[in-house]
Amino acid sequence: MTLIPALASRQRSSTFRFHGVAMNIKIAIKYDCKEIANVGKLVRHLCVLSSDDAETSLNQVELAVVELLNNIINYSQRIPVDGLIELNCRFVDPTFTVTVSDRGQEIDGAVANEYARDNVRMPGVDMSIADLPESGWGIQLIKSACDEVSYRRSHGKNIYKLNFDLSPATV
Amino acid sequence: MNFEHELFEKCVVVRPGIVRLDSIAAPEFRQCVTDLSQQHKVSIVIDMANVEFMDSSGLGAVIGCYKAVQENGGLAFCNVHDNVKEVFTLTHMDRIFEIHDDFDTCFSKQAA
Repeated sequence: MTLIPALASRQRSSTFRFHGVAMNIKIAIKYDCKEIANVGKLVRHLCVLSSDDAETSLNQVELAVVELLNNIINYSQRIPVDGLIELNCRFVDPTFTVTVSDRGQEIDGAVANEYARDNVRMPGVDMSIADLPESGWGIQLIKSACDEVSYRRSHGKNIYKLNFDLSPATV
Repeated sequence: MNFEHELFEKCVVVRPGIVRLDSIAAPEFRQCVTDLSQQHKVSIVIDMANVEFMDSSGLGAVIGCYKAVQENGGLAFCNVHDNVKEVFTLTHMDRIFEIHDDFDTCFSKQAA
């Protein structure tokens, strides 16, 4: 995993603040499942730095990022991909945004539609035990955890944007 | 990975020694639990005290275990971390799985 910090004086839209210095955080990782846990923990930590009293669960932010990386890496196993997965994390009060891009194959239309769908479609709890699915929960968890999710294909890249509202909890 | 277990008359208590039940740990977790169930033919109690994070791979493994152990007496959880509970709640699996706050309650119910 590689961290690529950039001073916000050159990138006005980036407003992470570490001891008063605004920063934009870019992370690059290999297509390797072993990288995912550390990225998840790092993104969670960036949320704490952005807003330590947010109502949004930090677990849900980590979960959404981990699920998306799981999907991207699993998808890349069908057709091996060169290069790195890039994550760009920024905080513009009160929204924490993680933009993830990869050069893998374009995702299936049905999967893209699932990202675009407004509602979350968890399998029903009324189904029999034998019918409970053991996979396919990832996208629904991403959508449950994020305030907004988008996917687009541009210049040979899959680009996902996850938005989280980190407004302070109301007492 | 460390999946410590203890055999009792009517159940096996499994204590996963992992912090993350994710795509790395899920296959071994599932194998361990289903093997114990088939070997001993009793209920399984999973003490989740060490597990602080679970993703959909972990959830899939848990569902797979749940299906696999049904004929041998079932599956129950205790000491579930808030982060893991959140995944059960988001997916509505909290309405399906037997989840207890503490080990003693869980164990006494499974061992009865």
